[in-house]
Amino acid sequence: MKPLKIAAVLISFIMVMGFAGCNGEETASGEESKAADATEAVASDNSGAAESKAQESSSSLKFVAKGKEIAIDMDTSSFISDLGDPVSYFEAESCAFQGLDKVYTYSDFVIRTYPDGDRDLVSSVELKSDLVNTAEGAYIGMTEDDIRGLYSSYNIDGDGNSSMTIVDGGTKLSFIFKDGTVESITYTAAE
Amino acid sequence: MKKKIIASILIIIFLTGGLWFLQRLLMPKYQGKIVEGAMIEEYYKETEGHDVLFIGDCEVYENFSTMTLWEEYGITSYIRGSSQQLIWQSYYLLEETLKYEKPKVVVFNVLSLKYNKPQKEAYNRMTLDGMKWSMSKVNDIKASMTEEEDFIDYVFPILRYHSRWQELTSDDFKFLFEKEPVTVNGYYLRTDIMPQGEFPDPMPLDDYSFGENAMMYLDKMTALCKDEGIELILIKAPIEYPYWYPEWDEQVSSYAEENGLTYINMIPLSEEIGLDMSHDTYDAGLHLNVYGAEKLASYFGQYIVDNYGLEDHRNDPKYTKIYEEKIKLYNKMIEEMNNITEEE
Repeated sequence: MKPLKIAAVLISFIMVMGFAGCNGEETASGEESKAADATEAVASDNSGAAESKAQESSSSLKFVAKGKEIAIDMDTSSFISDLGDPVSYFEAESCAFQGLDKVYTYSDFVIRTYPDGDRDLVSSVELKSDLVNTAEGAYIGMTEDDIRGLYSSYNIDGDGNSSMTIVDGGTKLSFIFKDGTVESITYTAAE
Repeated sequence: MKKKIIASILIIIFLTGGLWFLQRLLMPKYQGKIVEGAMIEEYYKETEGHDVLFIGDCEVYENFSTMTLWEEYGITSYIRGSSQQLIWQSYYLLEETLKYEKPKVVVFNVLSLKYNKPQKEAYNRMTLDGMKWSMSKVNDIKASMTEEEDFIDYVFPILRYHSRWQELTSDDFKFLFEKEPVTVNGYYLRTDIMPQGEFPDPMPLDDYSFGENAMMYLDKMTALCKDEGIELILIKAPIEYPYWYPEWDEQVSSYAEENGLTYINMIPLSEEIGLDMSHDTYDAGLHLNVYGAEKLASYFGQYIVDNYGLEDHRNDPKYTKIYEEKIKLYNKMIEEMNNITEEE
């Protein structure tokens, strides 16, 4: 009877796991998001039912433009229309129709997004001129000492010879130097 | 007692059979708009080996026409490609493929070196679900899973796909046991044309070094090919977006030199290849259409014939009949794709 018991346990296990998954769908838990996301993403023709599993970064590192806070993994629908028309806009279809990667280029900064279900989430923000600055006041043209002064309460990796990075929550803030001054500033997702 | 045992066995067979059937029914078939998830398992239908094996992401399976390699040079080739195929997935697919055959040349597209950790379950599924069970698949799953994924969901996909019961279509029944081919020897063709536009400027990076994990798998791939006496060629397909940084290019060049490998960055060779990106791409420059893929295969085929002395199999009776059928399928796919394009 041993094989019978093993088979019964196996079948019970599969059914319990299946039910557990189904129950998860009726809650607003992470399991729901996970299942819906995968189903929507991998199934051939379904749509609409997906809930996002991405959570907005809990980082304190945020960029502010036109009074709107912009953070990594933030849904762009909460701010994109307030930024006005970009100088240029680019979109690229992800492989296997997994949505559009978008690039909004404004005169002083660039916002890149990735698809998550029906939403577009921020994948990076790049500051391109000294007319904009980080929420803490850093801008292009500053020196290593300036950055260290502004971010004295954070752990900083690197130095002014090449780049300095600060990781907080799910966000990495990078200062890329050229000839001793900040040449570009980027917010990306921390690994 | 005997009756009880027989009844129990029948119940077990019925239940496991039922679950197996349900699982097959609920798993995505990838026969509609998204076909990329059907590519990996198509390989198992091959009856003969190949001299050239491509591994990698869409930059191989959409950019090299395997039928042009056959028609122009008699090269037998297969692309074990899948969407956003990560380097550990390429490695384990190579490892698995070598259990079935031993190609003379393996071609790996290096774009995936930019990823150092698992990315997205949807893409994992498109690569992993189609693999037959083996230690290569087990290790591939382990290397690929994101934090939110569970190994058990790969062992019993029904746990993952059970909610699809609400979305089942006639295709789920039609392709329950047999699927239509979506590639020809791994090449996924498109015939539509959308000229390449302008790409956004690349974002500067604070660190251009490839990650340790990615490089470890490149080392493993190199070692595996060396152990098996296979020539490994590293390529970067002639696609400008996503951006291929010069710093990345230098790293791959150095790696190839240190390890005695060939590395070809095809981006600067676009003109020499004969690509016209106002015509040879179907999605504004991200992938080549069949016209571009045939040009690229023609160029690359000549290169590998010249440098690796591959045999011309066009008069080899072992292959002629097989490739006759494949060419028919290829032409049929072109025709069907043209019809779809015209309808649109």
